[in-house]
Amino acid sequence: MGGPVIGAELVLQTLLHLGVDHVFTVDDNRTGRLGQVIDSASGDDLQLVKARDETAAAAMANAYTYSSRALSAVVTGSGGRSLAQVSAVTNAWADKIPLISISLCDGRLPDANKGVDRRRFDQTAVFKPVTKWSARAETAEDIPRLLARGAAESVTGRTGPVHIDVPERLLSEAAETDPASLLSRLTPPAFKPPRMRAEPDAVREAMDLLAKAKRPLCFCGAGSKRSEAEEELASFLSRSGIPVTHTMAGMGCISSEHECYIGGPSYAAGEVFHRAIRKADLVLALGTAFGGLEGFGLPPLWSGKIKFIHVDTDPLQIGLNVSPSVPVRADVRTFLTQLGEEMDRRGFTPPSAWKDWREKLVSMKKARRARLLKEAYRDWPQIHQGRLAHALGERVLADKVLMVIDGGNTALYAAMYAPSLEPGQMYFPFGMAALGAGVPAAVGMQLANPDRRVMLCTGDGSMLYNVQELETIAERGLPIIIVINNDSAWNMIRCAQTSMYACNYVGTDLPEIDYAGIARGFGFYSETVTKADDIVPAYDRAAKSGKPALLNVITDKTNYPDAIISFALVEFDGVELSPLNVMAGTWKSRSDGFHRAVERGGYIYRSFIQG
Amino acid sequence: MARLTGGELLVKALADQGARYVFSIIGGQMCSVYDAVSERPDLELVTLRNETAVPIMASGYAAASGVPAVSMCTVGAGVVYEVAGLMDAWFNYLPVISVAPQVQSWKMKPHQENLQGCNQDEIFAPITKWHAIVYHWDRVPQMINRALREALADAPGPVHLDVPVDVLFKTGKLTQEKAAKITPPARNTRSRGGVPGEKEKVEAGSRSIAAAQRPVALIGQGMGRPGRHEKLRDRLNRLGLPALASITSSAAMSGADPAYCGLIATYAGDEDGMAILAEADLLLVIGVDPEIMDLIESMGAFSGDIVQVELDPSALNGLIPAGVRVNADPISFLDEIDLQEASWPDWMNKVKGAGKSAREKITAADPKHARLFEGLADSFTNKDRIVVDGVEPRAMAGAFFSASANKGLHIMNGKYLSGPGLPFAIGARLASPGYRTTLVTDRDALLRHLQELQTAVGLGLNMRVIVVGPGEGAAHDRLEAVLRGLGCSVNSLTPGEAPGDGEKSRPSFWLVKQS
Repeated sequence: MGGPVIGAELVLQTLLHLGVDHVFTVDDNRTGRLGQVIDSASGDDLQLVKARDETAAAAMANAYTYSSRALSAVVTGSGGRSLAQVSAVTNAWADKIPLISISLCDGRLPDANKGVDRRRFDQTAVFKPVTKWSARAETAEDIPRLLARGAAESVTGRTGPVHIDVPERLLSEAAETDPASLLSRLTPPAFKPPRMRAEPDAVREAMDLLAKAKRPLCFCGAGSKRSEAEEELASFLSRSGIPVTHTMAGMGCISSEHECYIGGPSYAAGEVFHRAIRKADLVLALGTAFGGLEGFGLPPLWSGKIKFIHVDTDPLQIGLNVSPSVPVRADVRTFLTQLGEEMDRRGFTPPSAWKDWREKLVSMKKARRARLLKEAYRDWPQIHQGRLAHALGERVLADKVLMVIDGGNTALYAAMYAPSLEPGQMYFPFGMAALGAGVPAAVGMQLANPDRRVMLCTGDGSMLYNVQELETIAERGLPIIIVINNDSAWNMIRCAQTSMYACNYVGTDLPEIDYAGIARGFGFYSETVTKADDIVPAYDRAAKSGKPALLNVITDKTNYPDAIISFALVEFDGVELSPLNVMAGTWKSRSDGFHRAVERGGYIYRSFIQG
Repeated sequence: MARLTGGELLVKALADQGARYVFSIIGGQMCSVYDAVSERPDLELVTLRNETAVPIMASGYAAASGVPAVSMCTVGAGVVYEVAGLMDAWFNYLPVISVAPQVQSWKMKPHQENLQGCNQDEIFAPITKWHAIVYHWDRVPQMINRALREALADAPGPVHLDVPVDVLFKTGKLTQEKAAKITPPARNTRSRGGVPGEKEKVEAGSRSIAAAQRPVALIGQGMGRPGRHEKLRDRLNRLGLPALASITSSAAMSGADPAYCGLIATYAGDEDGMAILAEADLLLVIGVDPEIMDLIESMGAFSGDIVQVELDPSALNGLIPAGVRVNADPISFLDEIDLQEASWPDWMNKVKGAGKSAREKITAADPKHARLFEGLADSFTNKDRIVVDGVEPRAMAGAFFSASANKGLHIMNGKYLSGPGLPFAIGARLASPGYRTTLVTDRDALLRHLQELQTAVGLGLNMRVIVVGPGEGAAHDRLEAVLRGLGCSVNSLTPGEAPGDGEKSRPSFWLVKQS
């Protein structure tokens, strides 16, 4: 490379230099010179993926980066076309995914005074609260420096998305400095876990505390997956016999076949999790923030007497919600190795009380699993969501299918009936739990794993959000199978209306829609499934069709996953609710059947009242 | 006395302050609001299928009705989609009231890794005229009142309120005494009637206009559309003052208005059009916006006078080189112009002639498509509300549709927004019962918010959608199957033909044949 280079070319050269291998954008020329330059360079080193819409392009990039652990970028136009990235960027921020978000912006300086020249709104500022780092280029020379800095920021420390705005005029403006020299000083970053060691005293203190515990619990978050600590975790658990569970984002950190596994994620383990967090006297927390989804690790659901050992690379996650007795700033895998060495040094053998404690929880887990399966496989007039989730889970297990989950109750059912998963086998926007990114996320997941089957399990509410991307799937011939859990409702919220608003269902029932017909229109293989026994054969036909496929599975909206009661308690903690409405809802929902009332009552008894 | 939830108080305040439609997708934290909305016959709830479309539909409703509309999306997960769509209201000066729940007030700002929690007020700050967090039940009515006042004042635009879930679910008694204290009535808290401005400035402006030989009015910033000095067209017609509108004011006038010459874009994109503007000796700018700023800048050293009339005083501070700057409403201002004999008929013909010549050039360059748009334009009457989206329709429709009679022409901003046409048209349709609503779009723009066809089908809305570009063969058949799957009727249209009225209780499509 020699001679002056324009801004658009600089963006491309820098992305290539940084090792970005996929760029996601839209197909309507909204990125001007930049789109053209990247398009003409698209090949083996860098693939350009064109979505139908900016929101979807960013969601694809997010799932791609999550799954591939390779850097990718999303590039869009300005104004609303830039802010369309905010949803995926916020999901990336909440899930700490190093997404590189780039958009064009107006060339005039932003005006915080918000006058009638509405072009001059501060676009970069919109991204600030939901990115790890953000910047705006002012000269063509800024481009390589800011992109490299952004990429480095995205993968260091607490990982997360970064956003860079490039004024449109810079795309055709030549840089004055030789681009080769601009790039030669920039080091491509790597998305790898930092192997931070724990301070030896902290390891000793942790071991002292652990040794004194009567009922210890290991609680893992996404940090243990990011640390790639699966082997170390499994062997630490086998050796110590400590019961283990995990957060939603931690799904896949430990095999559900492990003898210490008590189920999860968190409240999806129902009464088992409730018992564990009420009775445990020590929690070894590995790479988790104790977020809202977990009830912050605090009463009323968690025992206030628990002592915590909290391991995290991020100093601000430690002490955020629980105040640990032993704060450990370290990488999970490295810490577990150090803890193993400390155990060796002490010749540590686990006390027998730990075994009783673990076995009690494990047998509760087995009883719960049996009860859930019995419930799902009863002879229902309409398909039970648990049956659907379990049947698909069997296929996921057998064929090592990658799962993308999108929905409210759909996600809960998927979690409750999940098979044993590898760490990266499932994608769900854990932190924001936003609906609607499923279709584009499946595209990102498939592009990151061209040799594996990708299945999207989505609710019917979520399905329509990015329905236009069915065209992108068809156009690229991606063999994705979409399964809709179609209960014709925003059912997680409908459940809340049952119990909190006396069955006043407003804005939560959805009409019947011919999803199979829509999918056929886009060139998909599709079927509507109304009988439980047809789920697996329909899936197999879809898999054999050689085409993208969609199964519209009609399920029963009067079902709801029992664990939703626990999640609702967390979500509405401290909020004023009317007991009269709750009683009225219980009475009015009697048409759901005596059996369901008993099941729900049983869950409440086992989780909150029993022992 | 019954206790009201924060949700009930909020819904009551919205209705009291003049909102009629709430566009929304539910979230758990909004349950108390939905429960309250269901009890109110004076508020319509429209539920959509993707939060990005929610504020766009609200924009369409506000643009066509002049009534502020509410966009309500849930905490975090919902609002992060909403922001992009709210840009429609931002760029088009539309009073859209965005209201969202937040997590518990004692766990927000700073957040503690709450599920779905983020500093969403900061996300909204740069793209709204005003934003706030309502921390107290007692303050809900006042903040709603303020939100509407901010959204409507001077240059209108979107506003945003965050309401923590504990405030929405908290109950309290609204005694008469308390109501008097905490609920400001809409009528007494907004300025009413005209804003005649300062006498000297108005007189200076009207003298300049009366003395002008070749004046042109440039209408922008949404001036002239419903709810924003709608009578502007009558005043300009009465004066016989040639008027051009920017995209944001494309609904201000139509081809049925004698004084209307068309869109600024038609003139700015044509040599003769620019020449005629350069010939003008006075520009009357009514509501400056970026398009008008760009036009005046591109005219270089304009030798004539510029008279600028604005409601927003800050818009007078040097955005364009105006000689006379008047802080007044345009109707009051125009009413004070004293003409012995109205109008500039020869000059008017000349300006209109330039628009006609621009259309002829467009026709010559692409006769096939011109035939389509001309045919459509001929079929429109003052009972038609028209929404235009997509690259090619936008280019053609500006020239042809603005010359036709219509109830309102709304051209979507394609540079800054991705396919807002369909949700906007649904909102506009809801505001225009008794009128015929037509969306003219290309395929790409339509696809973006395709999901909202379900909303239109669910509401049983009769509206027409004309899709330019699917052509024939496989692409056409695929789109047809998708549209039928979504419950719409599908027809074909040959350029030059006029589509029929369509079906009574669902959207009807016409896919344009290319050959």
